[in-house]
Amino acid sequence: MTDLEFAVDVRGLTRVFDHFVAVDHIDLRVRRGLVFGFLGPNGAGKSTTIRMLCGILRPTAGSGTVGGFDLWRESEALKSRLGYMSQKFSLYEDLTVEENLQFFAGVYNVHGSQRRRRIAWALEMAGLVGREHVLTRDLAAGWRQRLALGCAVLHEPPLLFLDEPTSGVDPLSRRRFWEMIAELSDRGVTVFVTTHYMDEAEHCDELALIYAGKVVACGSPAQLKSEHVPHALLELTPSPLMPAYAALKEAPGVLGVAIFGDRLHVTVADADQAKQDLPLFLGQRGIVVSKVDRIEPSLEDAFVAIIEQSGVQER
Amino acid sequence: MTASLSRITHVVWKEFIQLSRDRRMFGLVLLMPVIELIIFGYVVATDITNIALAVCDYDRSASSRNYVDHLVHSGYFRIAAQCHHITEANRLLDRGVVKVVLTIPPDFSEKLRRGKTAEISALVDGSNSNIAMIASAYLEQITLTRAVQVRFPDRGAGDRIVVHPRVEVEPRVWFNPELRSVRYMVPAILCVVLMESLVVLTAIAIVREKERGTIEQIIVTPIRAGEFVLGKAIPFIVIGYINMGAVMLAGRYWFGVEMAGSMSLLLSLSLLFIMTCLGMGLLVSTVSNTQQQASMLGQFLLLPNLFFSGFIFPISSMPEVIQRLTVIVPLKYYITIVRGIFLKNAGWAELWDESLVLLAFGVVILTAASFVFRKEVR
Ligand SMILES: Nc1ncnc2c1ncn2[C@@H]1O[C@H](COP(=O)(O)OP(=O)(O)O)[C@@H](O)[C@H]1O
Ligand SMILES: [Mg+2]
Repeated sequence: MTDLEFAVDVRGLTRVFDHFVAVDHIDLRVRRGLVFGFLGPNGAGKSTTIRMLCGILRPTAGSGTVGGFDLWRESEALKSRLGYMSQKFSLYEDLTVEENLQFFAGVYNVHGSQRRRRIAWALEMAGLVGREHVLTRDLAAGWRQRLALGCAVLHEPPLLFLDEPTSGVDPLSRRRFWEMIAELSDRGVTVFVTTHYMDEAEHCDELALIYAGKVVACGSPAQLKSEHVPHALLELTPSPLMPAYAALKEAPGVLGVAIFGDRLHVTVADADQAKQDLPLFLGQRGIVVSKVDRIEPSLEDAFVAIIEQSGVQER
Repeated sequence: MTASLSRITHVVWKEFIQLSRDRRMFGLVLLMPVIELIIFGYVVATDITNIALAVCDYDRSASSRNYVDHLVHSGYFRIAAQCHHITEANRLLDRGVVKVVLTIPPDFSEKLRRGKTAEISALVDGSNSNIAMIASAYLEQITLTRAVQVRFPDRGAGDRIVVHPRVEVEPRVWFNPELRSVRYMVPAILCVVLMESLVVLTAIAIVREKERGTIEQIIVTPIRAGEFVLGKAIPFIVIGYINMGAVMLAGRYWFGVEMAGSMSLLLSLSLLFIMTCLGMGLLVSTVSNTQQQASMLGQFLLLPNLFFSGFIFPISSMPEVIQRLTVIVPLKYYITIVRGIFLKNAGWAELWDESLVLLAFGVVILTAASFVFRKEVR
């Protein structure tokens, strides 16, 4: 795999469940050595894609290679070269930390001194030293996820698939987990990670956005923001929120409005002009605006813009 | 090859740890068979020995004496009187001195010699219906056992002895219509216990991985489907054998039923049946999504095996259509084999046909199941 340019290179990947197209002819190219983020809301088809790439689920259509191995013919050979962490925790909860590590080392053909070294390393990395004999079901979510990652990389795979590895984990553990991803990436591992957290997506070298089974955009976080949010962005804190949202959609000079918690992100053609006009516009309708700022577009803004531009229907 | 073996060993190791952590399940798995034996055993523990017998031997030949000796050696009968005339014997029966009068006709040995069916008549005291039924059933069984023994030696083929016990009593007991004694139950329970631990427990163990999602993590490792299934099954094969041993010991020390035949033959022919059971367990696991479904479906598959194998109801008393259908019931062949080894010290010569059928069942079911399982995993 060392002379491979793309760790994942698939075209037209499709999966149909009964008559429901969960993943719809997607093309993916993941450059070797990168942290590749696969971003999309729940139900977009992230897990289905990752499961096809790992050889767990048979694609309905598509072709290409994963880790240099043919998607259809060489999925068995691929298995010793990839690590996978499923979205649902899938280690044995009635085994201890150490027993899980021993078991997965065994089925991954890691033996002898190499096994001792790798298990010690995994315990160290996951911060589980001293907890070797704790039953896995008694671990907190953050520890479990780190143990799952440890088990997935015992055989030092050059390619790692992580499916929402930080869902349901506290913010501190999430940060710690991303440090582990960075460390693996530094060692040359290609990491393919799905998430629906936008802040996590910022850590990725490259991103693909998937929406309703289709890949709607690809590129680095900076590229996505600059290419898809060409206009200026204002952040308003109006009260009440929903009437302001409705009113702004009709306001002159406004290109788009999106709700972010108790605030609105408004895409405008001319930032300075709008900064003056909009509070007045809303004031005339009895809406108080406590704060207006020009902001840098976030990935979420980019994502909203991309979906609007793509014309893909929600399902 | 060694890599494959090592992966299987890891699955076996993991499975035993998980089993030992699940105390309730572990206890159940190991205690159930013996409990079953004791329950079934007592239901049929109607064994009565030393039934007083009057023999009226009009033939007075070596064959007839041989036959009577045989009855006595079974341990169920003792000869209370040797009568010269049937009226004498009937008087003893009327007075309740004997329970059974056995009349051997003068042409008994002559008929046997000419390869014809020799008839013996048995008159049974019906005042105690329980004893009456048991006595007549024993006569039937012992005669059959003897027929197997006398068919082969020097006198050539055709030797058959049929007893027509003229029993005047009708009541038949529902739970044990053939009056099979505990001697017949112990080997049958042995079979059922093995089948239960293999079909139901293996299916549950595999489905548990599906239900909990751990199978996803297994699929991405280099372990092959066959290695995984074998690794999951081996602990239950071991448990199946342990349970067989427990039932044998309980049978021996609780009910005094001892195995007549070869242990190694029993264990090796059992492997054929194990293949069938594993295939069934695997099939159940592919169509179930929860452990509960697997357990119910597994039990459901066991039912026809229990009903149509001769375990609960004798096959000979079933309607003919059903009798013909029993040829597709694997447990039937296994029970025949185990009873043969257990009770008659049967060897390969008597059991090869059942063994071949079981082998065929095993190969077909296991192949089909592996095919479905592999397809389903992806
Ligand atoms: N085994 C399945 N059978 C039927 N539909 C499925 C199956 N797996 C996933 N889906 C559907 O496919 C869509 C995509 O699911 P998934 O890939 O899990 O999304 P994500 O991981 O992005 O949240 C969802 O609408 C889901 O309901
Ligand atoms: Mg998912």
